[in-house]
Amino acid sequence: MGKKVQCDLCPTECVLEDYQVGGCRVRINKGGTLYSLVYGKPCAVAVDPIEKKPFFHFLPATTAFSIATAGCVLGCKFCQNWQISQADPEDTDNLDLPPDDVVRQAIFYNCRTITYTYTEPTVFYEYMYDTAKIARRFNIKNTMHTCGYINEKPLRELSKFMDAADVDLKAFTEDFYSRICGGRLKPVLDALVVLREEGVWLEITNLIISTLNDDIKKIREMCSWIVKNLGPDVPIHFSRFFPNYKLKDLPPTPMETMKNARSAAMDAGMRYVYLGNMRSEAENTYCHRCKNLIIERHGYFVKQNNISNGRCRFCNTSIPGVWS
Amino acid sequence: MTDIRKFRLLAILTTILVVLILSYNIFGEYFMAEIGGYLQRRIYYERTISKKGLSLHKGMYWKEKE
Repeated sequence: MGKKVQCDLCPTECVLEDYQVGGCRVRINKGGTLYSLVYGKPCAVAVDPIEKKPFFHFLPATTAFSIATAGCVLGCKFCQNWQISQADPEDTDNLDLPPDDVVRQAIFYNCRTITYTYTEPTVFYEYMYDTAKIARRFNIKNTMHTCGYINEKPLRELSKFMDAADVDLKAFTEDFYSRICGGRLKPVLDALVVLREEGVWLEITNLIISTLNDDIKKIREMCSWIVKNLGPDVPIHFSRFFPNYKLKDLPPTPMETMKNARSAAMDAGMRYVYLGNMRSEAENTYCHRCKNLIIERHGYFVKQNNISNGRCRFCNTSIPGVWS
Repeated sequence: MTDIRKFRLLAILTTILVVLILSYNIFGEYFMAEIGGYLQRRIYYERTISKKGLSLHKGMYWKEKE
């Protein structure tokens, strides 16, 4: 029997016996060496609008070549992609797509970005890292949609090749993270700060679930933390919850709650606050200075864009984001 | 074989048996669980995971940079 190995990729830090698979389902100790089971084996591949990730301040109206493998570092009871995130890689239908092929496909489909998304990209770290490194050489940008549950060292190393990250800040209480997600809040907040320090463009998504994390006081507290630690220019996407996976007994989030969350965020000083999973004017971007409509969206599609060279066309104010 | 030799042989065998029974009672649960768990994991790997065409790619790149 080989020796035990501690995986220090995510804050769970599993100690694995020989032939034991980690809590993420995709990393195994074999003979005292830790291996990834999903390198070059995505179970989901698609070309999506970048707005779907969601990124609203990153190359609007472009497409992202999106990939995911099975597995996740958390076990959220409301997961929208639980069929693959909570599945073992031996149970999913996987493609054979090594990093250079991912980049080749992205170029073929005219995608400006490769996005590591759907499940938690941290679990396929090595695959993402190698793909991002190659993509950078071909002037393709790298973005990820992550829960931010990753340790500092691997995150700093990854940040060298990551252009943008959309982090799911699922709630602002340790209780929610432990009871609903099987994780902790503190490492996620630390990861947000690290991404900011490393110069990765950051957007935040917060799924609001009735009775679980819809306390306006907590939302205000979360937004104040963001303004203080990450700055007021970080866009936040409040996403409307619909019953799913293990939380089918809860109702969809009321529109009123969503609007209240947006007001609380703006009161806390956040400049770019969006509402997702619902149609409203809050999916548009308004200049934080002159308040004019600068990007009009309908769902994932951009109807008009009044940003020129990263500046508002009406008042010439610099709009935070990556625009070209 | 004299009676004394037979007695000695019996005494040695009895001692070994007693030691084995005591060891099994003291450590058995620990070793059996460990070996049982190992065999279960190994059999699952050999019969299921390795037959699904999944790769084994060395992990933890950031360790190599330290």
